[in-house]
Order: sequence, then C-alpha cells, then structure tokens
Amino acid sequence: MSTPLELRGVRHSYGDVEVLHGVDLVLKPGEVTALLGPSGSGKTTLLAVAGGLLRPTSGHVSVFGEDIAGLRLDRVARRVAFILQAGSLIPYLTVEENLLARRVVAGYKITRADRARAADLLGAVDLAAKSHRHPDELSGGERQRACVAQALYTGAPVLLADEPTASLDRVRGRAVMRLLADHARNTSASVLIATHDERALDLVDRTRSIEDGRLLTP
Amino acid sequence: MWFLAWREIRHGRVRFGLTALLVGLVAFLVFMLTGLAVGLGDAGVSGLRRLPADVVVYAAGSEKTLSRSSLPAADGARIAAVPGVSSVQPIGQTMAQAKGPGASLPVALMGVEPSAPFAAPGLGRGGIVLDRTLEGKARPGDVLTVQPGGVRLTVAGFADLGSLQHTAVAQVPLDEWRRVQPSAVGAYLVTTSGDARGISAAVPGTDAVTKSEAVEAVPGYSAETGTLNLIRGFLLAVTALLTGTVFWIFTMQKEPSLAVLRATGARARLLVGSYLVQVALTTVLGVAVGLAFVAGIGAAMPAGTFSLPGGSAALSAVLLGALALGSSAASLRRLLTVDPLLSLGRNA
Ligand SMILES: Nc1ncnc2c1ncn2[C@@H]1O[C@H](COP(=O)(O)OP(=O)(O)O)[C@@H](O)[C@H]1O
Ligand SMILES: [Mg+2]
Repeated sequence: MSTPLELRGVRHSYGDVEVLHGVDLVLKPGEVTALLGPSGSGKTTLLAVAGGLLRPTSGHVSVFGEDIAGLRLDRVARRVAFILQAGSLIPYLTVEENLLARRVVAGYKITRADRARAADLLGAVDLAAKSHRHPDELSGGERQRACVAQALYTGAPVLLADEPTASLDRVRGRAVMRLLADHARNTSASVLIATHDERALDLVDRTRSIEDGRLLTP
Repeated sequence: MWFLAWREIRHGRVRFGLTALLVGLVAFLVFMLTGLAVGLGDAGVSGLRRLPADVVVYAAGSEKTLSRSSLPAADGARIAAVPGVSSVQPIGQTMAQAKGPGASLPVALMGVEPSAPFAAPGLGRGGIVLDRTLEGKARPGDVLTVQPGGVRLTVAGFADLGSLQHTAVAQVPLDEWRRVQPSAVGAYLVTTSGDARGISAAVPGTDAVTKSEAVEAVPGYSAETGTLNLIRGFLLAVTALLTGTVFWIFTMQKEPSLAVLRATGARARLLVGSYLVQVALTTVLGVAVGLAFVAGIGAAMPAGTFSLPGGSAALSAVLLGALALGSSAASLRRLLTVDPLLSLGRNA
C-alpha cells in the first residue's frame, strides 16, 4: 500500500517571506503523529500545504502516491479531511446537518445509514443532545468537538487537525485526542495533529517538532 | 443542491422572505402597469382592432384618424380595382352624444353597411347597436337622439363592438351616419394580398396604412401605452438591480461558509446550483406574491382601464424571472472565486 501522505522538500513562502524551509514528512496508516511547535512556527501552513489549500513554493506533496499539484481540491478532499482551527461549521445547518453536509459536498445523497452514523459519532463526542442545535447555540468546546465529528464522519484516510484541543479543558482535550487515536487504530487512518499542547502526547504514536519552519530530526 | 439551498433559506427565512416580498411589490407594480397598458390601450383602440382588415384607407391629410377622414364614394371602386384587393368595406366614424330616456351616452358612432361581415346582428334602417358595456344604460327599443344632427335611432341590441379613444362604439347603418356627419364615406377597410402603399399610389387623395399602423395612429394611444411601457421598463430595471444587489450582499456575507465548503471539497456545480435554487425560489415566490396582489386589486379596478390577459401576465412573469436570474448571475464570479484559505481563519 502506498503512503497515505508524503511531503518531500516542501517550501512555502507568503510573498517574499519563506515560512517552510524544506519539510520532509511521511504519515503511516493507522498512526497518529503530533506536530509540536510554538505559535508562528509554521504548523498551520504545513497542514494547509499538506491538504492542498496552499501550493508549495517548491517540493512535492503526494497522497497515496499521487502528486496533488495536479489534482482539483475536491479530489484531494476525498482523501484528506481537515479539522480547522477556525472551525468548519456552517452556521445555517444544525450540528447533525453539518455532518451530513460533508456527504452532500462529496456528491452523495443522504441515506438512513448516513444519519445513523452521524448520530453515533455525535454520541461519541458527547453531542447527542445537541445534534439539532445550530452552531451559534453551542459553546466553543462543543463547536470544536462537532468539528472533530465532522472530520471523522468523512471517513477520509488522512486527517489533518489544527490545534483540535485548543479551546478544551484537560479532560475534554484528552477525550478528543483519544477519539482521534481510536479512529486511527480502528480505520487505519493517518492522523496529523498540530498542537502546542503537550498534555496528551502520551496518546500519540509519534511526535515531530517544528521550529521556524523546519522539522527537527526525531 | 436542495440540501444546502433549502436549509439556508429556512434558517434565514426573514431575509429571504423580505427579499421575496420586495420582489413581490415590484412585480405587483409591473403587473399593474402591464394590465393598465393593455386595458387602457384596449379602451383606446379595440373598436378598430376588432374590425377585419389588412389595410385601412384614409383620406390624405386626415392624420390616419377615422373621425377626421372623409372620402368620396367613388373611391370604393377604385380601391377594389387595385391588384390583390379582395374586399372593400366603407365605414365612417364620428364622436357623438346619444341621449335616451335613461341617460346621455357618449359614443363613438360608427357607420357600417348592414351587409358588412362585421356589422352587428340586428343592425338595420333606423337602428343603433351599442357596445355591451352600455348594457344597463339603455334598453332595446329605447329611442336615442344622436347629436350632432338630432337623428333619432332605436336601440336594436348590444354587441361586443369595443371602444375608440375610451368611448364605447355604437354601430349604425352608414346611411344614418351620413345624417350625423354629412360625408360620403369616412374610410375603407380593405382585405388585400398586396401592400398599403400600392393603394395610396393607385388612388390619389388617399393615405392607406396597415391595420397595426392605423391602431398606433389612434389619438392618444401611442402616448399612453408608450408612457406606461416606459415606466414598466424602469420597474423591470429596478427588479434587476434589486435582486442583483440583494444576492450580492448575501453572497458577500456568507463568504466564510463558502470558504469552508470549498476547503471541504465542494464543487463549483454544488455552490452555483444551490445559489441559483435560492434565487429562483425567492423570485418565484416574489412573482407569486405580486400576482396575488394584482389579482386582488385588478379585480377592483373599473372596467376599461385594467386588463391582464394570461399571455401578458406570463410574459411579464418570465421577464421578471429572467432579469432576477440574470442580475444575480453577477455574484457567480464572487461565489466561485472565494478562497478556501479563508477557512483557516487567520487572514485578518
Ligand atoms: N497569510 C499570511 N501572510 C503572511 N504571513 C503569514 C500568513 N499566515 C501566516 N503567516 C506567517 O507564517 C508563519 C507561520 O504561521 P502559521 O503557519 O500560522 O504558524 P502556526 O500555525 O505554527 O502558529 C508566521 O510567522 C506567520 O506570521
Ligand atoms: Mg496555527
């Protein structure tokens, strides 16, 4: 089986300022990797490049052996799902519909099985009671868990999470990390978690540190 | 497409509802003006429009106006001799006042040969047939005194004769009309396979025009319908501007959601489709509201001023819909160029 996600010599510049200086990274199936680094070190940029939201200035990103430079975003999105720091909830959809929308966006019709799966996932993130609420009726932590459920719901084999525990307390933060770890184990998904929170690192398989746009050798 | 479009409308029902209401109000005005243009136009010219003819032959210098035209009887034979002409019918028309036992009625008195195919049934010597809108103001058997001339005529009945210059048509035999308006013939109605110019050229002293030109030339008609149609045009432009602007603002406001949808792999087709579904639903609802208003108010309008036939209403509705869709297409570019990077939420 080819590598779920591979970055080779990836550089990225915003205008003249280079913020990623040649990143090499390989994600393995079923493995959770933490990308640890201080604020401003380039974590979000790395994730955006890895998921096709940003093009590398040089270097290559490939998903299951396919260079994504030639792929449309909707093709990449079938294999790579984001947990965005700013959240990815659509305000006019309920929490449940926000999950279902991922199926719609991927071009499917909603089935009874889809709804059942959404209900299961919302239960797993402790949001069963809020599944018919709109995002503006949730707390920050609840929104973040809903975003996690959204990403898991896509069933994408690669998950990129940008500070998914940032607005959660220790217990909830650990719960989310465990959820991501279980997901990786159960579905052989590769999960990359950008974080500067070192409290739950015992739950990840691997840690890579990033500083000023460079990955430190492990 | 429905999934997103419908839920967004439901969540934003106030803004979409208000937009539909606004479209509805403008649509109402458009329908109103369409109805007025048709109704008033009809009241101005239906008496002429209903007469069967390809060409109307007036006297030269009569400004293509029935009541000003006067031609010699001998012209009938000359026109009939023009190649292509298959029938020639003399008519005459004068604005008159018909005074009866009940009321004094202004009428567009039209003299026709009782044998003409368009003569009202029952029209004969000493008789007058009134347009149906005058039913109730006179009764069959009433004797009316027609001024000028003081000619006394007996009401023979009613028929759908229409009106001219907002005055109901009354048909009388051409001989009786000559007692009101001493003249041989007013004008000739001609059926021909040839053109009007050929007749003007062949018969000196005549001004032959097609029937639609004759209708346009009825005093007041072009000015009235022209003005109404101009306002209608403005209102259609307002509709376009309104929907275009509103949906532009809606699109701008939801850019964050659009960015998320793009970042999670939404294809252009889904975004455009959802958007157009929303525009279409809003417009259809708006037009329906406008039609409902106009159905209520149009029914209360006095006869002879408002008439909205299905065809005209449908045309206006289609025009409104097309303009709304067309103008909201201005936002499509914006919709499709939203940067999925916005979803990272740090470009502030
Ligand atoms: N849109 C942008 N334009 C210019 N510079 C940016 C932009 N986004 C991020 N940066 C810069 O790139 C560097 C890395 O940012 P980021 O990837 O967000 O780091 P992190 O997620 O680790 O905090 C920072 O120095 C930041 O200021
Ligand atoms: Mg970041």
